[in-house]
Amino acid sequence: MSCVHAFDLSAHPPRPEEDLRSFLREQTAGGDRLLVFFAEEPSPGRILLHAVSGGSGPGRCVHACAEASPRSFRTFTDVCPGTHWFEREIYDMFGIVPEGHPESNPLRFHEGWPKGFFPLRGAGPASEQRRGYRFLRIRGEGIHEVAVGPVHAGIIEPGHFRFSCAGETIQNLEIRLGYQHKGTESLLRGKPGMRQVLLSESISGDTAVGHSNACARLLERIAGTPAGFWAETCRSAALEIERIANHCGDLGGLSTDIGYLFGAAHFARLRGTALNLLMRLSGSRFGRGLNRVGGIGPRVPGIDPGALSAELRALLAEIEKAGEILLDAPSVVSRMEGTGRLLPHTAETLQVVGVAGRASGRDIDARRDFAPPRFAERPPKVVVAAEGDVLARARVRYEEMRSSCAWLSAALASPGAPDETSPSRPGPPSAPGGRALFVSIEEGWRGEIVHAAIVEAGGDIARYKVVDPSFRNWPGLAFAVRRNVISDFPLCNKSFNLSYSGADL
Amino acid sequence: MELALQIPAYLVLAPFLVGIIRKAKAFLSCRQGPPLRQTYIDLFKLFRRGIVRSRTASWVFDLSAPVILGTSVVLAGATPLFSRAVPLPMHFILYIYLMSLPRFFQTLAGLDTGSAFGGLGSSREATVAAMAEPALLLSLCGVGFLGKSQLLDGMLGGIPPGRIFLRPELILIAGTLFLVLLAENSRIPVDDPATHLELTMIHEAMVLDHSGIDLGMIQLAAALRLTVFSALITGLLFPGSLSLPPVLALPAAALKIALSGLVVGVVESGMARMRLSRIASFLMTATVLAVIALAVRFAR
Repeated sequence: MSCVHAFDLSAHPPRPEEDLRSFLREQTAGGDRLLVFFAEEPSPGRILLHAVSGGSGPGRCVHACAEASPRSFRTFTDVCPGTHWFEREIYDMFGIVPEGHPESNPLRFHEGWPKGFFPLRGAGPASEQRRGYRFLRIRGEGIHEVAVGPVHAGIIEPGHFRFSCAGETIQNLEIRLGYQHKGTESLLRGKPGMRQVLLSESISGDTAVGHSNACARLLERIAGTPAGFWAETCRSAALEIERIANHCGDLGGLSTDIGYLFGAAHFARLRGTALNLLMRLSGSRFGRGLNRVGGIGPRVPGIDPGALSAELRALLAEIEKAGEILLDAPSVVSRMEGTGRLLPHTAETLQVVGVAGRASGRDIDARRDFAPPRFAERPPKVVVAAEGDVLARARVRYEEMRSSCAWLSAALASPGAPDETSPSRPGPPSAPGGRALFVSIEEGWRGEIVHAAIVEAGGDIARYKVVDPSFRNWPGLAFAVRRNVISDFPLCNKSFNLSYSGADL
Repeated sequence: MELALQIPAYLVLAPFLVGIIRKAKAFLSCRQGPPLRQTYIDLFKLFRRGIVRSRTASWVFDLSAPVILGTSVVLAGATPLFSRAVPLPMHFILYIYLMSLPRFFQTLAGLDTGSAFGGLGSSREATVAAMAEPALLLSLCGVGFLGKSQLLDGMLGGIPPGRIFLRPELILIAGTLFLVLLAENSRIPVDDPATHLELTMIHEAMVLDHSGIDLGMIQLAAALRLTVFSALITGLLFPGSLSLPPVLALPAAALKIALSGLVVGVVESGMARMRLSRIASFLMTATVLAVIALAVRFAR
């Protein structure tokens, strides 16, 4: 199973910081992508930095660990720009300063949080007092600033956007998050069990299936009790239906933002249809309560595979009808084409993942690169576009829905037997020898989800790290809107449709 | 008698027109939509409410809503709706610039509150207005030549009845005026009156800081303006409707307004909003149409 990897930490002692630098440089040059970069404090005052990367070959996943000083480390952004937000996060959570980092503003906390508060730091106050937030000032004739949020004119999550504009043109966008920090990573520590799976469903409400799949598989690997074939079928089916539902919602949202009534009305309706399928499969319209450690929930009704296939076919027919009209309408195409372009080079450098990454020419998809059980036997078609504009992101979504439906119909032809669904309690960890790092990767609808857990010799999770695709893609949005007019920002924003909760954790 | 009825008729028909557009849009996206009386209820509610105003706002802000509504009422008095005679006969140049007066105050009020959105909306509105003006001016010139008058009521009333299909310049002018209607009344594809996204708004961004009775006045003025444009265009296309017997005149006027509401609703449902930079070419098209109409007129 290449979607979960285990690394024995006791067998490989941490290396010096410079080794991690050369590791990251080699990985970036070798075509691997950074999956997760995080810090932990195994004993008071001792800080370890972990980096996991992979993806250049099927199932390839490598790990490096370095010892860092508890006060600071030299930034890795020069060799691997993908660590940019990870390093800011390390500072916010541990108070370790990344020396030479291009950005010094807090990422996780807004100005209301107390100074010197580093939630994952076990002991001792921070080495340095927290600085206030300072926006980048652009000066010049006619430059004006527009501040939007954190409270928006709609029922959406909070986030602050600061635009520096010359007339209508955006020169710089500064995205300030941290209004939804709820201590997810601290809550996920402790004894592995059902608690983590249920919590993971709330990391980002629209990705309940994606996150809980990743979490459940991680815990199953720790316990050594893999889920059965039928349970994996249900998980994959729920994942793909969640993808279809959200992509429908996004195409509807894009239509709303450009005032295209037809698309808005029909894709909102189709999203509902897809969510209702998820309801019948898992008992919740958002796929909550589906996963348990070792299988799927005991009260999950499940669905007759034949009936699900038939309903999917009907749904796909409607999606195709509406999608063709939407993506062929001249007024829609002219509005989306060339808007919010994220160049492939930028996407590569920032390591943008998921739909946004694939729309900018990045041929990455965890369902193929780190295939979960049902995807290993039959990889789905990965949809890639090169243009990187709003239209490309809309088209990738549309094509992904079609490829998801095709994949799911094929997978449902051999669903396995439902009697295997007996969720077992997690047993003792499979590697009782010492500390181990487990990494689980899943392609949620928005992009690559990575869960990493460091398990102590006793079996407890000492550090749980979650990477939501939004966390990787927010910097991409800031680059995509540069040189666009400010009235196109909502459209660009919707075309990325990132989660605030998933980034703030 | 008829003259005294004209302005009240406009005031009653204006919310009706907005309701018709909403109904048409809802119907075309398989929804039921709010009932027609909803627009009246909303206005009534706003007129009973107090005002919350920005601390940085000056007397310009306070003055804007009454001026906007007042000017729109004057315009309604000058535009024939169901008879050739109007209570306020007006030279067409004065008419065009009275149309700009509410916008002038609206723009100032948008800037006055010091909010970034108001500023954005004002600058966009001024740009769109500057580009729409030549098209409006040229098309009213064309109507003047057809109706052989410089007064608005005179030119509309002076159009000889007959089959409009034999007069291409009339159709071209009506087309131009329809494009101007979409631009001047912040309809799709120029603006989206239903959007909640502050950053994309044009007209709505300027209105964001208005509330209560001020907002009610501005919304009524916007509806009046749309009705005035509709009356202008339908008056051109159906010149006979201005010389009907009094019993038929009012229902005919309501029918005309409803028809133009349907057309606006269908157009709005069928297309997405343009990006801001394309509005220039959209309004350029309108101007060129007006020029062609004038050329056709003089080629005869």
